[in-house]
Amino acid sequence: MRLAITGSAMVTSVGPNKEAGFDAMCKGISGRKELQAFPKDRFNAKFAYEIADRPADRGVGAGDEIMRATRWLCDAIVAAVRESKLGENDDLCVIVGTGLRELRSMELFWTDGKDVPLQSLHFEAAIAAALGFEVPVMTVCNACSASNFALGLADDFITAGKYRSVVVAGCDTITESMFGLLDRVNPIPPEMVQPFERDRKGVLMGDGAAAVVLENPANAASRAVRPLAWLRSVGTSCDANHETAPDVGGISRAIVDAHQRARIQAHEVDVIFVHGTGTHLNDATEATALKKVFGESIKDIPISGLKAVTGHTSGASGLVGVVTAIESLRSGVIAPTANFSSPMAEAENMLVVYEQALKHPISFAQVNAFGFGGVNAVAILEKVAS
Amino acid sequence: MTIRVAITGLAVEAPVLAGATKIGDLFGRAGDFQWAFDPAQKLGKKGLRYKETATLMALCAGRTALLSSGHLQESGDAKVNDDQFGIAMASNTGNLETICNVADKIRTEHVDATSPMDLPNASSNVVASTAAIRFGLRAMNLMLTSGASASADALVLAVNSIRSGRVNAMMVGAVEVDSLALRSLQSGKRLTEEEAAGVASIVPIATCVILESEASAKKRNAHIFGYIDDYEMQGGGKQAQERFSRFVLQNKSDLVCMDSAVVSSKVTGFVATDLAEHAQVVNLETTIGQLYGGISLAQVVYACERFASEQSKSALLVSGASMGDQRLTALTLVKAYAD
Repeated sequence: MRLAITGSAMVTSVGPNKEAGFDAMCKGISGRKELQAFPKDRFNAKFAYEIADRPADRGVGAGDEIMRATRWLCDAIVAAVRESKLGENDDLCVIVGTGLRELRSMELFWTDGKDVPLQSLHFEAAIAAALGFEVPVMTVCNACSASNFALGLADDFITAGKYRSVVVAGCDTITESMFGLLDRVNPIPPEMVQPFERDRKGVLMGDGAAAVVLENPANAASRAVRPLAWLRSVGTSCDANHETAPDVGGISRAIVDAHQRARIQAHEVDVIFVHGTGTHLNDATEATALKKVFGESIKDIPISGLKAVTGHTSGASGLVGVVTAIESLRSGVIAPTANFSSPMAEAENMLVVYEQALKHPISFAQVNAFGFGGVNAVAILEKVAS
Repeated sequence: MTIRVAITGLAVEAPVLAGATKIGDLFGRAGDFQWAFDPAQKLGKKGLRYKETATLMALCAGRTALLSSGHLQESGDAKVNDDQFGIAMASNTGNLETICNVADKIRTEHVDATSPMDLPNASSNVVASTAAIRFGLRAMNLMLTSGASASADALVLAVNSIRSGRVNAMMVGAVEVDSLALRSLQSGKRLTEEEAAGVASIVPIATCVILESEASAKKRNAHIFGYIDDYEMQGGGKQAQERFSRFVLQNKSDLVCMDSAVVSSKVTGFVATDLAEHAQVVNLETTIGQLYGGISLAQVVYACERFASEQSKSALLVSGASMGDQRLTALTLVKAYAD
């Protein structure tokens, strides 16, 4: 069954809403900045893709702010629910995909003495307050593919008839511990994220949140709400291979699962939003898996790496890709891969979109998301016929 | 036709009480609790370094559950290696200590003073992914950190995954661990070890069940401890409230696990004394201690223990509103279907 997406929203370092974010992506404007709140002298990496929402006048020594991920998450959810025209009387639940929960606030509780209640490490109370009504909130902590997994879980709820509508969201803010440990293992600190680029140096993290409202098509029709796009499927797999390294076999299984669930052939995909973290191993593995599944047809399918603009928004990144894909389906425009000039060897003969946005007819879009632990989730979206 | 979800494996890993293998073993024993954990006994010595305690406890419980379900044999391969076998793991507390220690190290020294071996542990899904690697579980892989509802969510999502045909089987686990970081959060301020000693905290145990489609279980001639029949999550809307209330009030199970006082305050028309007429009512957190995100799975394991000992044939399990959280989730289990 294809499901209706009746609301969508995103908050990233390149825009507080989906319109501004998509516009910046299409122009190749990056959200990269020097570290905004971490003690710079404690890190080798000096850049990240942070959302510039900290008060400029917060004062020297005031430290970082708590609950930023929760704030963007709530902003995205409220915007998506508002667009879908759902409300308190509609029977719905929320699934949040996140890699790092509110662990940034936990760090600030520990190192700076900030006031952080235990229950604010997950999101139920905050979302109820933002929406103005209570709703079950499941927090799925699935690393960098968390929000694509959340989308698949929402599909299962609706297909099973348990809910007619599910709000799917993703959020993450950069934690000192994850940023630091990634910094620790990078031989040379990267200055920017360069998906699929030959000279890529590694990953840098970014802030972000995104949300979509997924709905039974009959329910959307009964409310006379026109979908923004259709969700055709989310394919899932686990490598069961390595705690941090990716695996061609596991990634390929998730892509094949997505195509089979969507009942489409690989060559029918019109654009692929790659996971593309800009690390040597991840990008090479992803490209190899794409070639394995798509065969010769991969040469003709435009590929876009959004993390060049947003940084790696961790658990939010899958859904940032989904919201962006919806904008591409609606506009027929694919954002370019910023910071790209020449492809890595594994991406030779791939159609990486770069330098400028590509006008391209799109019926089906694929969004890849892969995470630590070999957790893979791939979404297939379909354009709503006019 | 709806796919029936059978429970074919059970496990409890309770380092707080030597010899305990069941939830029932922990009843009224809080005074005897002390910490004694040797994961190498079950897992062997290889591959245990740098793993979180929560991960090791979950691996022990996972292995016991897979032996219980017959997916592993004591003398056989240590892996299931199955593309249709997934995992849903619940843990709110597993890596809190690591996060705090790494953040401290960076603040007081430099990122170069941290250990790269902490990188996997900085990702909160390390418990689920490590179990998948250890046992070769290659399908759906989920980590739930929803607070007091974490294992209820893991169960619900695992049931959905089986019914939707995404998987044939799911390992569902829960593990919570005590730590200075957790006790500090509970107290609202960073504590010293001495200050933390006096804080009442959670009971650190791991539980695990193996869920699989009835067809899959019967094909293997597996013992079925019971079935997860249905579930409901409490919501704020009128429809959701009414549906949840109906689910709880109309249920006639002979075993009920819940904190009746909490349910009374949230379900209009609920009277705890009415239940006692036809059901044994048990509050696990009163009899064992605070289980946080593991409560729902502990209820499932306990219900299956009661099914196995012929003390119960059906169960209503309600949990969720504790440790600052508010939402309730209810599951119903049956020992067997009438047909």
